[in-house]
Amino acid sequence: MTGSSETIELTLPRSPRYYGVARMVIGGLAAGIELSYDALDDLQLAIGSLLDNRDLPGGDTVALHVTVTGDGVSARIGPFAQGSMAAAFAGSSASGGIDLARLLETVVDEVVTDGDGDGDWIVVTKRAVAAA
Amino acid sequence: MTRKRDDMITAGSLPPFEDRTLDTGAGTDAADSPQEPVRKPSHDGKLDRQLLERYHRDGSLEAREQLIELYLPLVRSLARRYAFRGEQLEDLVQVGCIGLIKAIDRFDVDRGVELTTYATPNIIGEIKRHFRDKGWAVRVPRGLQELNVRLSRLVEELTVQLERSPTVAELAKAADATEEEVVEALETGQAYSSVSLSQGQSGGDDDGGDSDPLDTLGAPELQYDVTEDRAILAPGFAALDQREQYILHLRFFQGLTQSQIASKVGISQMHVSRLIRRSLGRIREELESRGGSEFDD
Repeated sequence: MTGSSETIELTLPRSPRYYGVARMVIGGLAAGIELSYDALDDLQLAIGSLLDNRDLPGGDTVALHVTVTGDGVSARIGPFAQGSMAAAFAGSSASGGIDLARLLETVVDEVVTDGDGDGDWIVVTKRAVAAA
Repeated sequence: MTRKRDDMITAGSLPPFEDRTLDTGAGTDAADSPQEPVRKPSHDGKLDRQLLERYHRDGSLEAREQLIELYLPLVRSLARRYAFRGEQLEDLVQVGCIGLIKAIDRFDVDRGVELTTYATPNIIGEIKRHFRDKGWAVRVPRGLQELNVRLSRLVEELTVQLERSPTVAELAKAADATEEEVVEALETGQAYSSVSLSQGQSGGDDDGGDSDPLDTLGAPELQYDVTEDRAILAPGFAALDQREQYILHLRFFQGLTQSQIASKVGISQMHVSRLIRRSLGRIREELESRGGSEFDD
């Protein structure tokens, strides 16, 4: 891995059996950019929560695009059903519980949702804190 | 429980034992437990020595059997401390007996220590290994299990030393392992079915904390923090005990990091991670059982 931004794409069956593969990939990539154990665990929790989220319907497979930059890791996950992302986030602040929005906002640095012809996508970013 | 036939011991009629606390040595967490004291067999230490010499020097299996009989009360006393964690007492006695037999077999009669001193950590160690091995939900190679346990300790040490969370590279260096091995070992930790907070962390990532880690929590503080926050009323929280709620409260409502929670609660960071995942899973199950699932892990 060289350069300032590189992406690895992974397509997995939508089954918990394969989510460990995604976590391993994230872990392997994080090792190269000095992401801390804390940050890595947070990112893995976020990605695991998205992959295994029953409120986000999608097809038989889920794609994970992991982009490693000099200062962190971004993961774009989808596609989910059109409009499902908005529904999953809607009213989350009113629930008072640990819903998807609160979970992601707590454990990652940035959450962005977007959509294309295939459906909804979500991008979560975790930045590495420079090891002093 | 599957064990070799040779290791099976029947804890039948037990000789009486003296009601005095045994000095189990520094760092033996069972000795730190507020539960009943460990009891020392009432027989004379001279008898131990005679039997040990007969076994080790003359090869007397009868002497070995007699030693096992004499020490069964100690095994039972130690096993009882772990019996509330979902295992049958008799199973734990059997496991503890294996530790006792190992201690008897490995005992060096020329060293000036008592068999009780040597046997106690062996018995406890065998019971803890039993819990640790049974704690893995899927078959994980022993080497990875051990690296995972080692990493748990290293995360704590390096976090203190570096005053920040260590990187994978730093963990690899400290563990004398490759980065790939570290990533793999951390992932295997997902296969560990963490016990409830209220059940302590026996055989868990620390392999050393057998008392309820949340005994260290100040009760008034716990009650204040949780009940004053609406989190306790949050959907699905009812499925958690108060202590689990406290952990999630600290993470998701107070914004503490895992390492900060670990420090506050007095358990390892890796244990906090597992407990958070497990608690989130339980909330999800609770919500799904009610027909709603606004949260998912």
